[in-house]
Amino acid sequence: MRRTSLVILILLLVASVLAACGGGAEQGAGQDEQGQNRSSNGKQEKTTVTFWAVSADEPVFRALADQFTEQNPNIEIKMTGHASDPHKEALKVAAASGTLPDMWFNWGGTLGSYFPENGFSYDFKQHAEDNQWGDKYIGSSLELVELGGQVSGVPWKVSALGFYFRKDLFEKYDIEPPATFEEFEQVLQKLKENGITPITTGGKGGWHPMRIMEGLIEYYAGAEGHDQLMALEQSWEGNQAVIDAYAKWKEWSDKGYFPKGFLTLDPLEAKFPLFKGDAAMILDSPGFNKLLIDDEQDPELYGFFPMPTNTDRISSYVVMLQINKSSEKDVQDAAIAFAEFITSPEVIQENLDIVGFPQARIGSPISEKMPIGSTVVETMSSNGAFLITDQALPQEVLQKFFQAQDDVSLQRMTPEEAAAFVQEGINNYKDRMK
Amino acid sequence: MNNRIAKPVLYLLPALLVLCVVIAVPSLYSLYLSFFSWNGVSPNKIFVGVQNYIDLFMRDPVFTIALKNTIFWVIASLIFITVAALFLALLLNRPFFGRIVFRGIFYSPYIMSGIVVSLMWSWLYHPSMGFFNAVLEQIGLEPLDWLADPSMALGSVFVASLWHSVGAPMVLFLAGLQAIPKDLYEAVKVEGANSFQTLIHVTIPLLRESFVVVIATTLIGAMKVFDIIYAMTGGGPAQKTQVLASWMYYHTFQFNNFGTGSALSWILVILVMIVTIPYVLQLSRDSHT
Repeated sequence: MRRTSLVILILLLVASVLAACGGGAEQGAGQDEQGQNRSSNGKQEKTTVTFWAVSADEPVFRALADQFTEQNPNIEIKMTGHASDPHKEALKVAAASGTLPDMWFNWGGTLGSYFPENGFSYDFKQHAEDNQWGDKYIGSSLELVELGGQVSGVPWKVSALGFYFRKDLFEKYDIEPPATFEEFEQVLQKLKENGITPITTGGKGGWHPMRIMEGLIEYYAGAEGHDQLMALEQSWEGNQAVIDAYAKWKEWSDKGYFPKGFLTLDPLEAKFPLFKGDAAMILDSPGFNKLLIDDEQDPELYGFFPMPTNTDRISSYVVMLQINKSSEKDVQDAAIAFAEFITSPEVIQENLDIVGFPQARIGSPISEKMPIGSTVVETMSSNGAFLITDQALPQEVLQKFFQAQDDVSLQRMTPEEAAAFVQEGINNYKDRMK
Repeated sequence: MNNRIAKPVLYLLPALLVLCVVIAVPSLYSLYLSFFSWNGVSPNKIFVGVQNYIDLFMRDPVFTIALKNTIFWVIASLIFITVAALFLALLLNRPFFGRIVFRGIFYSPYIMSGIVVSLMWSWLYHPSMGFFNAVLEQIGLEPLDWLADPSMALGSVFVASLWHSVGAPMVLFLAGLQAIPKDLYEAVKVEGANSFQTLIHVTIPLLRESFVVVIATTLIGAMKVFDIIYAMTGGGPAQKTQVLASWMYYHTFQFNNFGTGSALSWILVILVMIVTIPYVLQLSRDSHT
């Protein structure tokens, strides 16, 4: 009896293993080799494009995907949203484990370059030439998506940072938007004297206050010096411009120019003191205009000025859509079609209120619901630009930059030590790259 | 092969296969990777021997912080979670009206997702809109930087973790308490023992099996703490709340240092082994005496 049970058990085990092995074939019976579903009569049904977006833009992409699939019923866009930092990490994890989606939202610089450099993203070079991208997209956006020697994505927006300020608070305390760094410091002081937190920011993850810190480096090091520091061509250690920038950062932090406990506040929470009128300014991207509408704030209450660094350059970056190099040809084609659809002038025009600005597409209009829009775009076109720090520095060095920024605020590092600390990180990175 | 040996081996084989595929092979592969410099995707892995381990100890100050924080977390978990769980279990084992409801209330945080708990406590700790600072201000005290002050950030996160995790060991202790025969308590009462003496000489010794499970699960859980740190502080401010698991994650998936990340994971494994193996051996020896 026992022996019989044993034999039955073995047979069941073998059967279950075989069933599991055969499951894949059975599951895939409805699909051909190119990931398309086919009905039993062989008629093509749908091409599915998996797409990862950042949650802030997910509603926009969903709305645009619905319009796209309405026009292209044989294509399905399967979307997943992540918050900014988890999105960056999820992409890396997926790349390492061979589970990247067919298309993903990404930033430029060192965040986006990982994918072309390691052969994960589709090179649009030929496609761009064939489809005259030079006539369609802003030149700077095309330059910024050129990474690892490839045209690594379809440019969606080119962003530049500036201060969005509460006009009512500025009027109340008789403050004019500053044009020089010295005037800017006077504004900060006056706001603080009147019990207003001058700048709101959220330091969790480091990148939000980094925007202020990089402005200080731009001011003290000048355009050329800043570029050399970011390219790791100039030493940070003992560099007077870097030390001065950290010293000023410490001074502003000590004076309470940022919200209490800002170092571990989520960047998404930074807006609340501004909305409540407890803070006067936020250094943000043009996406802030759309955020005001989404959060039912009055956009008329806000003004804009670039951070005065006396160089006339502002921090800029591109956001783009990258496509999986390993996806099947028809899936890639469907993904490209979707990316070009959402950057087409007609679609932008029809969806002005939700797509925001500044679009990488040449001549894209701005919604009337975003009254600061034209000022932002004018500033972007009249000023020069530098690449935002978290896309300019290697990610490993960036972590040191963030840590130094925090430690200086916490009085745990002097400005000199902070400069040396970042350089130590650069040296380690260079050693590792040898 | 003898049927007496073959049969149990055969029964164990499927589980063993799963264990090998899911745990043993990836673990050994990560040990192999820890001797290489590799970005996780490049076809070229550069053999660096034990350099990743040396770099962690000699050139990575955040690793030292993470190691210290992990040790703090383990010790604090063993003391506070165990004591709080035992205290609650003793309290909720007494007969009183609404006992079941209170058991449910104290257990309920445990069923919540770690991320939900993290978000909830982040708001409680919020410097300007949080509950705790509002209370402090109400009673005329200065608000605190619960998560932004390095001297209290890890402790603040730990309190959130304590609230989240105390429910499970509490239930284990409750189960243990209910298994203790009532006549033992009656006997020591007749002997004139007071409550404290009863706790020390009867309850705690008879909860030995519960302690084994509670200490082992708390220990291992504390060693690999990750989600609550990641969600509440992201390792900040200035990396002062990093623990080994979070720093391993950052090395691997943010800096693309798969070799260093793997080395870190093996340091964590070795630490868990150093602490757990003697404990388990001692327990198994005790259980055979």
